[in-house]
Amino acid sequence: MTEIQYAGELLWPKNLGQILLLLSFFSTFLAAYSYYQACKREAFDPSKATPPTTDQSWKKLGNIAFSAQGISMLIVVGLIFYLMINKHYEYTYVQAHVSDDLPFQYIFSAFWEGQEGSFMLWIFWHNILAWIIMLKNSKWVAPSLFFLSLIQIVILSMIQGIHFVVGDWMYKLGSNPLSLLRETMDIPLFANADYVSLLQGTGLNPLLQNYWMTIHPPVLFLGFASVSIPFCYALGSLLVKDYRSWLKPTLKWSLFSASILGIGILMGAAWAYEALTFGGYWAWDPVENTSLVPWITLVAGVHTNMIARSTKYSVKSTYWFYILSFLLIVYSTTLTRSGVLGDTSVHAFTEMGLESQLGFFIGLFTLLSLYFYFSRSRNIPTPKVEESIGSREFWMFIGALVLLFSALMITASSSLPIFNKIIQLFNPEFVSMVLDDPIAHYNKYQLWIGLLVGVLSAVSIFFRYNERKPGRIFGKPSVHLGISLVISIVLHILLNQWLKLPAFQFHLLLFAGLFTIVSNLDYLLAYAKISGSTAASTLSHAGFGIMLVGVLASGINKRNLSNNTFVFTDVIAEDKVMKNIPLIKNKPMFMNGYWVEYKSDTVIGQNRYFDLAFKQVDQLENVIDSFTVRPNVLYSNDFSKVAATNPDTKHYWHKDIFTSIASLPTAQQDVKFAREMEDTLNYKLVDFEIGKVSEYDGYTLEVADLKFATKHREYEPEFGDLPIEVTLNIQDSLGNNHITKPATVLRNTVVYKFHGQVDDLHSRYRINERSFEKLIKPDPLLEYDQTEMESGKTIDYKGFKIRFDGFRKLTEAETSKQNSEDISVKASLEITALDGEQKIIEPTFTIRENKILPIRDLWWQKAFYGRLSSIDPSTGKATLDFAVDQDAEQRVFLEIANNVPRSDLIAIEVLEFPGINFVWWGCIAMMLGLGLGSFYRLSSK
Amino acid sequence: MKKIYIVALVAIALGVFLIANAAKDVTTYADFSAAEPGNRVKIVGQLSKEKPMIYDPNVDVNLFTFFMKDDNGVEKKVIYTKGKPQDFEMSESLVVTGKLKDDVFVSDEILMKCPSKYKGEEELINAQNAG
Repeated sequence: MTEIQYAGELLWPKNLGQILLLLSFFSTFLAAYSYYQACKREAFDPSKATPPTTDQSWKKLGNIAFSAQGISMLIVVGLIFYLMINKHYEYTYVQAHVSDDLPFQYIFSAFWEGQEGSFMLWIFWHNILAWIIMLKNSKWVAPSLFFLSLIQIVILSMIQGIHFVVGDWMYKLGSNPLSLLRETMDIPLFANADYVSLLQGTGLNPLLQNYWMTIHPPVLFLGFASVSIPFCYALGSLLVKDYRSWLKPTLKWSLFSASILGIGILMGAAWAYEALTFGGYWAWDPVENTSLVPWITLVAGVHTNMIARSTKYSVKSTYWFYILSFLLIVYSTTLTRSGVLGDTSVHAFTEMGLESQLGFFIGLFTLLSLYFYFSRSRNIPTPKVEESIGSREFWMFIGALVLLFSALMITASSSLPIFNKIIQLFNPEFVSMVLDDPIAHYNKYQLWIGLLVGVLSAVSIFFRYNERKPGRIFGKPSVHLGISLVISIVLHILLNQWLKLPAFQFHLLLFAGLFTIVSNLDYLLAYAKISGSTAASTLSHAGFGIMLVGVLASGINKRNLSNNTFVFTDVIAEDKVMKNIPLIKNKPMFMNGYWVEYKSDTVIGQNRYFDLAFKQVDQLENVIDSFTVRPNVLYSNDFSKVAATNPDTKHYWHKDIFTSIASLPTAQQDVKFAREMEDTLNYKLVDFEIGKVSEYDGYTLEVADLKFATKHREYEPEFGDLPIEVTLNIQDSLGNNHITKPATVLRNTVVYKFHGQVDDLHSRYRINERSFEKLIKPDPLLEYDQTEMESGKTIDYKGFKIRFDGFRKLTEAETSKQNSEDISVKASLEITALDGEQKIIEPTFTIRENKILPIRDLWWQKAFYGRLSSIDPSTGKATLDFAVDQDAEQRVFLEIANNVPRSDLIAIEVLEFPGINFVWWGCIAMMLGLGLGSFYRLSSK
Repeated sequence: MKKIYIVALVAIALGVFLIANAAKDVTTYADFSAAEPGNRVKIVGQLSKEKPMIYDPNVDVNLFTFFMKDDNGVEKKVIYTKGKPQDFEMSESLVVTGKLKDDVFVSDEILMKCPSKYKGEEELINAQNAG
């Protein structure tokens, strides 16, 4: 087979990128080796915080090799952006994620939409964090970056795309983001040497064309990447056998990481709530769960790390929590990216054949962690005496265990698909298990976790570290606890007026939330010699309490406002399933205390916005409140389907009203379907006299007005079009009046019909092209009479007075764009009919490429035609042709169809979320507290 | 006895209790033969594309009916009570949750598995250029 010379391929980015990918892969090996040597050769002194002063050449070499990788990867990322911006569709990754119509602001989203891009984002953040560690230049550079290099090697292997072939056996290491389409697919298209010019991009999934997609992934991946750092410090300290001095720097990192990862997850929740239509912020989806679980164990690690800093306890558990957090991140990556979740999750990536590599990722770091931990565990210092039950470290440790318990439970339930796969390996007959009702399942168990964490964080702050007198708690602290308890109960009773809690455990949870808020605020006011880190921790704990209140309020008291109790109750007994109500344009509908009216809709680009007016009324129909929301649907590029629906939410401080478009009539979703439907309609041809009221099919119809212009919403004017539009006044048998304005446009020889519709009568109207014949006769059928006239002269013609008012040039707007070379002039004629009515008509005289084109003008009501057939430039006289059509009829032919489905109908879903802001405020306070904690520890050397 | 052992014991006891309890939350994917009337099940199958799919918001915005074949080839009419989901026709396989009632499966939850960004050749080619 001969090699095809392809035209139009840009190959240098691929070649350069491939070299850089390999370079970064191997230089990370060198970095790992150098850092390892640095750890071995540079003696570690646990008592000193500064790096050893001995020869640091290995560490420097490590830094250089690691940075070489970092810079190479920056260039690779740059190359991919370059290819994406310039739409080089010969590249698989570009073709899959960009398209010609993708707005530039989504180029970042397109970059990290795919697996390769998100791996590179992860690599990118690892590099940024590594450079910060290098700049700070503590003694932990070599030990921590040794492990970070190992992690980086494994992630870099995911984007190598190297094929190993041994005989029949082939192994593909990773997937190269710079591979060409023709390398990844085998289709006849690539027999065409000029295939590049035929390609088009798939583009970014419309669901992801959202600003959240621009900010959520980078923050989440910074969170993911930052979880690696406490892990690397932990394993690094085991490697160099320095078990205590790593605790201080690591705490800053883990607080930072918990804050960022938390914000990343929170952004995902906010995205789901704001822009998606599943009606909530948390669905206990496996992908959500497995990103939450590492956060939970990391927070547990933060707590044991604090214990270990202030006492001698919990060093071992701190190791475990940091190791576990990282492994859970990798586990989450594996679940999300391997395709295992295909059935059970909405946002898993599609399969990419990386399963074995992802398995290796987890396996390698599990083994490494186990090896380093158990080979050193005997030497990790542990106090002989147990924690006192009256000490803070005891209760904090219990809290960490509760968090661990929660993490294990969530992981176990989310891993059902994995268990199924494993069992099916041994027993292919095994039927997959699934959670019957995931949300109820998780809520049921996590409620108790929330309760325990709430109470523990309310109480444990009143205990002191290293407490040797357990009785102290019965002194001053118990007074404060007592006061907090009383305040919380009072608040509980007050809140109970607002919230309806159906079971005792919800009351307990609400109380735990309130107790946490009150006692933490009390502690801050009463005890703290306001230090930054105490304030930060109280803020976090109070935030947790606020979140609990919000979760309860918005979760338990979430209410569907759009249930319609009148529809089909006999078919479906369970009323919980009725969630949508239909809305007809301009017909207010009542639902649960609100009048809602579909006012109008506007198409802007691919989006169609619906204006829905809400009016809340009391028993006496007095309007309490009114507002308008604008949910929208996003059509696919070819308008063949609704690609995404975006809800709109009215925010109050104490509740949200969430509205989304649940469905549209099929003809409103799909232009193709609409066209097909139009073809199947049975139109009847009926002619009407203009200005006369006629009976038709049980109603009266009047063609009230006819214009040679139209503003029909589907019509885009072009020069040379001949549009007609009629105004139809229709009165139905009930006496209701309807107006509709169908239009028909003659463009060259093609007729375009734009229908008018009266939804209440299920009828549709079009103007038949025969109307043109009746209203306007073509020139050859007219008998013109020629007259020569000079400006200002008046003549009589068949009962009309005609005054020639001279010539005028065409205005800018009248000039044809296609034929800008035309030379045109108009004659202005004032016509007076017998009845005294007057009209100015302006026939045109055009010279186009040496040809003369007279364009007539007419007064259609009087069937009067005028034409300018020549001009004498020397005398300024015009030769004018006039004709009057004696047989003209004032008739319009209409095509009328009945039984047309309504087009002005939508179904909406409206939900009320009481107290949802407490969820956001609480979570923000929590993450802010964690971040502040990191910041204060960073600034206090 | 050390306190940590007490804590561990409590945790283990609680864990065993929870696992025993949570086992009830798990069901299996079934076929129509397992759907006895009144029994809530999840059924895997394919949409019968040749049979009519009826969704008319003029009549009821919540009512959507279609036919589905389970993995054993048994076909039943399904009523879904939350309106027609987006991209429903595109689904490769379906998981419907609900109950059988008078030989009609009434479902309030549908999970669709859509083809994963399958790229046909025609999709790669710019229609304007090719034409």
